[in-house]
Amino acid sequence: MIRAMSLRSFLDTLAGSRAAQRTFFDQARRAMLGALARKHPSLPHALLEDAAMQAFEQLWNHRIGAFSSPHPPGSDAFRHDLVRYLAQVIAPRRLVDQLRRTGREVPVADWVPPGDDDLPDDALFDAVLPAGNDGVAAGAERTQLLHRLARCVDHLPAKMHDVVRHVLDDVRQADIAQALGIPEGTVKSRMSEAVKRIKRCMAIGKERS
Amino acid sequence: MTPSADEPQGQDPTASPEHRLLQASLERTLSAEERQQLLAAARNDPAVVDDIATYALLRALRLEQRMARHEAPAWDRFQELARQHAAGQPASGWARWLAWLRRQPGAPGLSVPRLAAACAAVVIALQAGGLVWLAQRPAEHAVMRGGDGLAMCPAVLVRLKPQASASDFARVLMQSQARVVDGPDAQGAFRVIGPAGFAEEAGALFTELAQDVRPAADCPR
Repeated sequence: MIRAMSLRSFLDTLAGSRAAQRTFFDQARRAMLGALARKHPSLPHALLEDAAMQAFEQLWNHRIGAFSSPHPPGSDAFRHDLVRYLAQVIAPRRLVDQLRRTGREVPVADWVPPGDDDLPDDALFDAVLPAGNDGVAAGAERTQLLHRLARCVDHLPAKMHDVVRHVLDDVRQADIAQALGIPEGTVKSRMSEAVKRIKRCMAIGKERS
Repeated sequence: MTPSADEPQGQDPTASPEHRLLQASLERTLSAEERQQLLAAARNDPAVVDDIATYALLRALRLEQRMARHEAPAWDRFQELARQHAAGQPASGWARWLAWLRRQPGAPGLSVPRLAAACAAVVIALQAGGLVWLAQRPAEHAVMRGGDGLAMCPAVLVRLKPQASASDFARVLMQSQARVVDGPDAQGAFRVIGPAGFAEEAGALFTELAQDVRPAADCPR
């Protein structure tokens, strides 16, 4: 009961402030989509968005089950607990429901049980990129890093830039080859070269050399 | 844009196996063996760690762009949910009602019997009002919904699957600018009206949620 009241009081406050809504929406949506995209990299993004929105609907309808936080509802810590719960529990459940409803199989390779998702690239990924939902500083650092990356991509030679832009626009390599009128192998080699240049531009690994 | 003479035409022969895996990771999930292979390579070669980090950054940037493309409708919907919460607020409304009761003269320490009596009075008033409304309500559903027969078209009768959720139904209704105006009838069908062309598209719109979707017999074809 106290739990439900805390959440209700949090939602009442949130409903009364557009600025607070924006902050919470950004944090929670980013956390949910980030978590879902890491676990299900090959699913269409629209499905992940739907799952995140259903999690929001569930939250506003006070139907998020066993959520509890030891922190007061007005605190940042409470909000972080709630964001984490939405991203790690509610949104993945809604995605699985949706996959079942739409007759899609949940890809076994995509389904990593919570707590067992220490993919090597994610562990390393966390080292270079702050998660974005753990505080303002981490979020700002992450944004800055991604801006730098976008600038590095913009400074690539035209041929490589075209390939990387297509990759970032969700175009598959075979389709990039067709769009640019080049063999798929050329797409791959341009991508490899682009990655080398991006590494240099971002000074990744520079401290070792 | 054509490839230069020094660029490969088929597979990229210069790419290491790890690089190929990382490129593949942009389009599909790596298998457990592939991830192990990448992890083993990363343990032996710090340059592979850097490559993994670079690809991770690219994936993060790609996710940012995807999120940006979907952001406006998601934010609109989120605000709508917040507005609905603020307007409805079932629980906080109750809390406000209690607070109002407590503010009434002589009620600072409102006792349980007095609170119960006040609640009972409200329930009785609501029931009486409901009975009066029931006795005086218009008989025709078109009049009740505030429209004539034509305004109730185009319409379809939708019978939902047992596992369909109300939120999914509401979402499809919202997306298709449709609304439920009657039902469920004896067969469990809801009458749903929507914009022009709705009746033709309704079958596809409700395909995931409905057992069957029929055009309403009283609407012109």
